[in-house]
Amino acid sequence: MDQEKLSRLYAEGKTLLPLLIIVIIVLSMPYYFRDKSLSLIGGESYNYARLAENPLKNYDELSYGGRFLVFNAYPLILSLFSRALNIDLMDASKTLPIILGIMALMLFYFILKKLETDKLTLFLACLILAISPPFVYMFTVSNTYIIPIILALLSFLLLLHDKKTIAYPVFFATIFFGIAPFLISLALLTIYSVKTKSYKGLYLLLLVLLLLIPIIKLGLPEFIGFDNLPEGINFRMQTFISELGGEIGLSIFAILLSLFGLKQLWHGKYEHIAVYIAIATLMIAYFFEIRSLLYLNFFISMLAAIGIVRLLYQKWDSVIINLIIGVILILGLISSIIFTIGTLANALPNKDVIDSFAYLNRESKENAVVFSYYVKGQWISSLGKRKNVMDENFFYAPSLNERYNDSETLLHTKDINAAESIINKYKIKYIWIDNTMKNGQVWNENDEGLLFLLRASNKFKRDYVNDYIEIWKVVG
Amino acid sequence: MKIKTFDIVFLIFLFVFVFRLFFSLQTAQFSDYDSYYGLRQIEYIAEHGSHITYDELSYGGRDVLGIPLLFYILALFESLLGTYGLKIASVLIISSLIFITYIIAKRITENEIASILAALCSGFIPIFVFKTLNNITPYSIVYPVIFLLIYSFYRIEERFYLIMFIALAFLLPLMHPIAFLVAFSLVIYSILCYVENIEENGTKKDAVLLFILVTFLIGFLFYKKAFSVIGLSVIWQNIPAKILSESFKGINVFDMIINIGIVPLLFGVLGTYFAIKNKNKDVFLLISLCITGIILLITRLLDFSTGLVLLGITLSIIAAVGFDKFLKYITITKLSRHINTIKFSLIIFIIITLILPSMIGAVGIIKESTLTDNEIIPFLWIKNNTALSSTVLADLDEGNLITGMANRKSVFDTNFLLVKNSDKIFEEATSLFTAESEIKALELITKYDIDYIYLSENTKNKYNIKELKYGMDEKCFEKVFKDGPREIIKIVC
Repeated sequence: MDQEKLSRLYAEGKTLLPLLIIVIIVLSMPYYFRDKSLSLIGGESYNYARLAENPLKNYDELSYGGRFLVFNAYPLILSLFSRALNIDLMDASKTLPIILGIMALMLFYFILKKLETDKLTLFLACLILAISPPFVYMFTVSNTYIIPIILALLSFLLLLHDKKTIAYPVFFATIFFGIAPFLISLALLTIYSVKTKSYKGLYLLLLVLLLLIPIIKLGLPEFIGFDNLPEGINFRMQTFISELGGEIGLSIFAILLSLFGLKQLWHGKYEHIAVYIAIATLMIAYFFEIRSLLYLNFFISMLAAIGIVRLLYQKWDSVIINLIIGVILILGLISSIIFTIGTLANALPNKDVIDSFAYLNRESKENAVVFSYYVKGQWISSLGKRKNVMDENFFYAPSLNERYNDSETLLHTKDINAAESIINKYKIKYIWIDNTMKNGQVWNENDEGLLFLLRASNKFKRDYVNDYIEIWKVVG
Repeated sequence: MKIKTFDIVFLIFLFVFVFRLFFSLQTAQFSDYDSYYGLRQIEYIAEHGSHITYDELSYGGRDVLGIPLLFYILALFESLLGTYGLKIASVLIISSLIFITYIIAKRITENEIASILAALCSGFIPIFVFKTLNNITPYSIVYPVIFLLIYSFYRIEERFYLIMFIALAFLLPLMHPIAFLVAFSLVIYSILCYVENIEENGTKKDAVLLFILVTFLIGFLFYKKAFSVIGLSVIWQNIPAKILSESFKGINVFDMIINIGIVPLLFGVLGTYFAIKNKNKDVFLLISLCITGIILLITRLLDFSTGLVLLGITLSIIAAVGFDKFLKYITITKLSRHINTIKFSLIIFIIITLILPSMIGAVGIIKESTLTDNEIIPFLWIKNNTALSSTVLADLDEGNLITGMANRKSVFDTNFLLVKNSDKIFEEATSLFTAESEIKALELITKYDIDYIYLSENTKNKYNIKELKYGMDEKCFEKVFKDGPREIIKIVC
């Protein structure tokens, strides 16, 4: 390697290294502060860890009481990663996202560099991304969006380097991680293709997609006839902003800064139209798929960095105000990440949840069906290793709407006959209830619906209880 | 000896101060039941040095958010001078608004007479007097701080006012969520300046940004928990929908005119017209405050009386422009010979339309809304004769008397923030006053763990009842206290 290359590498390292150190620290924090007796965060991460035990299986006997499984490459990658490093799947589910997070940051860095972003903006954009709540969530909690985002970033980097022959296959690989991430990436690629007027690749991609149609013998998946998120627009707003309690929401300070960034971009009028359209597309997509925020976050980070640079270089009439604004912005961004780390560190499942499923696993028969609110379904199948009636994996789920309606009836009915008929229909043996369900997620009162029946009817016996969980056995 | 302008302003301040103090000192009690929550906080601060962050008595226990700065200031006076000291301090703080409105009016008109008239109007906005007379409310300090902030914004190029602005920019969001309203006003102000092509000074632009950022930062730091628990209902302070709609029910334009006062409204509108015509950017900020208030009132995001008070004070200040233009206009007409008579008539008009209604209203408040000695007896009885852990059901307004005066748990009170299902609690608790079925009532009594029910004269009148319809069963409901129409029923089954 000649001297020039070495010095360039050294210069690159000088900017990248602090960023990498920061991202490693930030992404390790949630697990560092999490109770050591607990393992993963959320339900999805446990589910993928379970599926990774047998990643090529196309039938899941525990989800929806047994269902066909649409192939998702994420459990396979998790399994390969676990074998390659010789670590168990739980550790793999913690480590893989962090490693991919580092990769994502590097890819973002090189994309911005290729776009000839100035050094300060580049550094700030990466820094804001590294400490943004959606980024920390995405690369801490093992989820299916991690790899499609990496692939999308990689294919965009390749496209920027004019390596289309590699870029399109890389991009196409996102389809193996779910339809939603693929469609989001496709929308972004379309915007890029229109902007660069390179339609060939896009046509090719659509052609390959058409070839896939005969392969799909399953027919179209059942459309969800229910809203799987509470309270419509208010809830959307709440989840959009991290400070309002949104788990993967954007920081309000990053949003404010990005507005300054947008104003700066607007100086070039329609020169950056692709960016505006991409942001608008992702905002619209957000109303259908919350996780499109994970993609939007990259744009917001970039715009926020542009906003900060604009603020730094604009003429300041008051140094004190300048200084205070700077401190507030730093505090605001830091407070967002602190709250996010705290939330993730204390996220469910807690020890009570894990203990309750350990009990269920110990005491129940292997083919027992456990009923709960569908959000808890993945815990039932992953932690309890028992069949659930329904979980959050809706894609090609059997009789999805019927199961949802039955679940709702069972949760809210005070009519023992109606409850019994549903219990018999799904052969439910246990009912698992936690405090979140009792405090608004399902019920608001202690004597509402199923809660009333459980206490009033002799068809149910409380089998297990701790501070957070109740498990009722169907005895009648 | 020539009277200086400042002497007149000081006289107006003294007049407002004495007026408020006179009515406040008529009684040892407060005219707003929510004041008893404040009193409890103040007493707690005086004793422990910090405020109650977890209220065990309200709704069976809930977190208290924000920093009640006013309570800290009043705690100092309370510990030195007792309840009367607290009243004096409270009146002193709210009366100081006269000086602030005067200096703002002077700044925007440079006309002393007009500014004096504006200051006089601001002291006697009827709804402002009714809502802040003889009570402990954070608004006593919030309103002066808002207008002081505005004044310091005007003069932000000067170092002293820059420091003052920065200090107040931190103080206001710490004191009250109304800071979001001011932040919103500053955004509207920037838009107005942009639309009207007014080049705004750089420091002011920075100041707007600073205030918005500080408000968001502090707001989210303090109210994050509330946002995550009750979501966007925080904006409505989680007030049950029924109460919100009740507070706007039966409101008509005539009421609004009377509450704000004809003079501030008339001259305020006139002032607004001239300010827009002359592109007076200082007045634009006040207009922005009015626009924000109106938008929030229309969207019912702001409590009706708070919105009107803010509108009233702001219009009083803008009215200075109206007075200025009116008086200048008179001087160029044939009426100029009678200018002093006109000025005098204007004062008489202010007295008739603002001071007199305020005075009559104040008499009514002290007579009708203030707790009498007889009304206190039941709460003292509860304090002395019930178990410390008892839960008492009283009507919504009296909830703070149960916690503040009787020191017992209330089923519900007016502090709704962080209360889950506030709508349902409100509906069920109020239904206990009118319920007919004993079974249904007992179900709710068990649910809320109620030990006593207090029926005041107001409660009986409000729900149009003479007694609890389901309370005939003596095995279950024992009347343990009766004093005239006031009674306390113990749940014994």
